[in-house]
Amino acid sequence: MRTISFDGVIVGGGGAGMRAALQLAQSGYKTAVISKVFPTRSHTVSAQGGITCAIASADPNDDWRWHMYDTVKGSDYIGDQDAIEYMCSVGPEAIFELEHMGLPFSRTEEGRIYQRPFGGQSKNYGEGGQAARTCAAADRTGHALLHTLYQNNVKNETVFFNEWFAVDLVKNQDGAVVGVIAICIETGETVYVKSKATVFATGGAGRIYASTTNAHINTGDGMGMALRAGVPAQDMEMWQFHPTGIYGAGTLVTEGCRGEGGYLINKDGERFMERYAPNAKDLAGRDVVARSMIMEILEGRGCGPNGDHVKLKLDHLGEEVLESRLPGICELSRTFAHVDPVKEPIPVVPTCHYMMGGIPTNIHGQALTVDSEGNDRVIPGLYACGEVACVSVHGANRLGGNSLLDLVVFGRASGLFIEKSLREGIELRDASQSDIDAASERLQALNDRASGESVAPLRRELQEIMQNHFGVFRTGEFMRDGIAKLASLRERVEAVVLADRSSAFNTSRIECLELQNLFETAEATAIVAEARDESRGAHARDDFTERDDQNWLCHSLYHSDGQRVSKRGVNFTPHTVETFQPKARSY
Amino acid sequence: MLQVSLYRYNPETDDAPYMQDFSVDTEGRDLMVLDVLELIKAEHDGSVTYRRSCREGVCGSDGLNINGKNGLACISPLSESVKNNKLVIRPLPGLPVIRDLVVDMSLFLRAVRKGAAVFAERDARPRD
Repeated sequence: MRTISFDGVIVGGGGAGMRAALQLAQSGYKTAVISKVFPTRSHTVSAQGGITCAIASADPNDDWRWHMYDTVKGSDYIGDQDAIEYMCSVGPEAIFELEHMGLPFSRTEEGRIYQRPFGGQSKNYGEGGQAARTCAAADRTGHALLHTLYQNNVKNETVFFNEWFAVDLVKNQDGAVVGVIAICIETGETVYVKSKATVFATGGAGRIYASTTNAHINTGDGMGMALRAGVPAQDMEMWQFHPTGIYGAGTLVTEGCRGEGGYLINKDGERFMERYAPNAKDLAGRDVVARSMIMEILEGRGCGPNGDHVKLKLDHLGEEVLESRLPGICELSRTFAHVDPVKEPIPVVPTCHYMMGGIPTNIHGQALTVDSEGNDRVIPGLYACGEVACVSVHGANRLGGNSLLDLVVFGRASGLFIEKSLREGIELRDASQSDIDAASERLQALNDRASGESVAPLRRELQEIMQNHFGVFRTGEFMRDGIAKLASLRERVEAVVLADRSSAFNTSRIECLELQNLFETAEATAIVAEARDESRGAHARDDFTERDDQNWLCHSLYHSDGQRVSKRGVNFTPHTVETFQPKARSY
Repeated sequence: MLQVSLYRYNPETDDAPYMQDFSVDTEGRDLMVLDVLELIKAEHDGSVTYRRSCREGVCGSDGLNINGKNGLACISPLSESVKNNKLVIRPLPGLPVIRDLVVDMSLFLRAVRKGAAVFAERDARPRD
């Protein structure tokens, strides 16, 4: 097997990966991005609503501390306050940098960046009413962001390994990460990509659910590789179901619709969020809105012949507002719901959208584990940023617009820290041949296997278990059923068989490897969901309906070997502001 | 049953490309062309190769030639694509074929990079 060496390698070419790459490309160190798709196809491209940040454009009095408060509250108090402080305070710098890179933000009459209201955003620490803080480029902000970052990487001559798939982490005898085994999809060649710093920016894993806003490529590759290599996963039970996925298709309709004045209605045409969240109404935290919608449906006020969805009313905004500020969702609604939002409301239902959990990191992007005494320990050589990381800035529930901010802030932070470490000198023992063989085992087994089940039905089965047993509302007994089903599925997933043995652009091989990553992510989710016996943020249990701050004001940690669940402390000590004390959370 | 004809080419085994026919049961649903490809790959022939990601028309991965017209498979409904109950799917024209419906975009991308360099150069000059 050939070896290619770098100082830094970034796995994933989305918003976080490309921002980290930009930082490192400018450093003069030998770095590369490995992406399983052409970078501009990464899922960041589909982000719609915007980047939330207190740049004080819409409101000159806006303050990053208010944004921090909203984010801490939104996280249902298990977001790390020092990390949230960092993200919200450096945010404006990051936005202006993007502006200078050429991101075509929508503009106000005065030429300032347009900011729209978004969920969970308030003025004056929740006391001053709705804030308009989400910086937008129409309703295709992610598209604009990704293309801007790509063009700037081109300008800075970043080295890209496009359509290369990272299979597994390589660890040396000291347990440090020293690169990845990767397949060049076009030729089928397997290579050891050796690196002093390996950054996972591999995105989310929404495809563990049958209905998701996510692209086909969101298969939890970083989580799979990490869990197999003994890296723990944090807060995996926290999955965001976005309130407005198009009924049937699962395609996302941005929260920005509600920000612009749209609202949800039940079969009686009632704006039901007025009952569930009297102040914020349709702009309450996404977990609150999703649960409210499900309750309306369960109580018989859902729409359609099966009463299994609700509707998003936008026609009162007028054609001009819709076509200028929300053109993307107008298209999506016509294409996938066969509804013109200028005339009729869009059928919507809570849909799996975002993974709050992930690889635990500090604010420098260094991956962490916990030793036998419960102390944090850095995993040498491994970093993570973006959706796959759990810094944690989103805790148990993410606010809209905070993901795009997370990408650029922590993509940059990881890049800066790695640059500094490389300058100080990184010495890691080379992987031995047996280390490399260990990392290639899973791929080898797949290539050698003569019989087994096909990938598509196994994937479908996995997705249905997750959809049914680990959705918006969860119950202990039903989750335990799901865990048992997953346990018997594991063996069959590990024995998935190739439908195609060729070398050139073999997508069957990639799908089989992805299926195994989906499985690891799903099983981690299932086990910690059952273990956390309280309701917090997006994790809502019918059998434990209240928040339990005595026992669970903490992160969950999952180790796949032994399927061990443990707890990890949350940071309550920001540096420049007072701690935001946990309170009952209502909107 | 929908008659689908797919362009196939595997550089390791084929001297020349050929069209392969499939009969697909869409159960009367007005699926997107991408859904049909997924169905064929899942139930008929797992070696069928194409690019796809977002499935909502925003990423550009699944640009294909569908019954003679170039478009994104994920937002091409059968009702607008099928002719005489037949769907003929070929790779985007004008670019070398790597395998089946996957083309080599590097010539195109090289032109994009040259364009990016022009804009970067222009922005570097002081404004009047």
